Amino acid sequence: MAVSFEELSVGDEIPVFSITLEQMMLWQYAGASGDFNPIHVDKEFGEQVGLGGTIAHGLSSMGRMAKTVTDWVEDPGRLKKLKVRFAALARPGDTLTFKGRVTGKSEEGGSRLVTLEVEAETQDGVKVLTRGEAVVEL
Amino acid sequence: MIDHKFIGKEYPPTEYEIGREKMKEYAHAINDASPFYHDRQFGKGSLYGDNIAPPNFAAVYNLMGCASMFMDPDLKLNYAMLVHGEQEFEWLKPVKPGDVITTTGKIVDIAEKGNNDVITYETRSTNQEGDLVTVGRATFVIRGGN
Repeated sequence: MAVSFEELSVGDEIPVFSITLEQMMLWQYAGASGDFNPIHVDKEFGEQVGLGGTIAHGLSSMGRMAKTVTDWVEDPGRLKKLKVRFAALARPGDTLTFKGRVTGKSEEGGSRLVTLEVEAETQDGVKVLTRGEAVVEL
Repeated sequence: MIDHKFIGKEYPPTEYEIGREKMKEYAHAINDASPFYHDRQFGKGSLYGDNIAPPNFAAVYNLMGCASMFMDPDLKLNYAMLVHGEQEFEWLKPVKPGDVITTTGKIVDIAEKGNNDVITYETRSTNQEGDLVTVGRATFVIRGGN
């Protein structure tokens, strides 16, 4: 059922999205985005530069954060703004959980906007995306 | 430390044509199965009249011009120590297959935070009709200073 502006309250949480990263997903994201930085695709290189292996593209986490919000509003065209801080590294094997919580509602000039704070964390509670903010128009 | 005289420096526009399969591939790579991207009939029947790009496909068409700043011989960034600190996208209009997107990039701030240098880079994408579709604001941190 579509999200209703009237029924939303500050503090409401949106459905979470969780996924366990695999190296194949990092290769897929590299191909889809064109970002073949060896820190994402080459395990040996990642070890040599002290990262302990490959690390996920920060922008792939941002993409999954956007997906979490647009799945909730059921229309990707309603996402007007997304801001995130890349706070920690994510690696193959990590299970990331993407979350959002309503922080504000406003009506300006005929548009009804909802602001959310968003974040992503690993299975160990390490915050991968912090200080996140999303704005959707309903 | 990076010379603050580079605040305001602009980089030449890049052009990117949105391909239907490419944006679907991006959606797939972020595990996003929305019919707005993947189902042509659904897209036709939607209020957009076609499929639209996943919002974060901006990571491709809006951010691709960053390379010209990273490799700028005047700026001489220590690329090996550069990390993407923050990213913001503002979406003003949906982007669809066949759209030709032109993006310009500009350094809007240079600051020192502790031992690090921080560059804020703004990217503005317009479509073939001249409408502003996406504005990006990226902060890049050069660890240990430039």
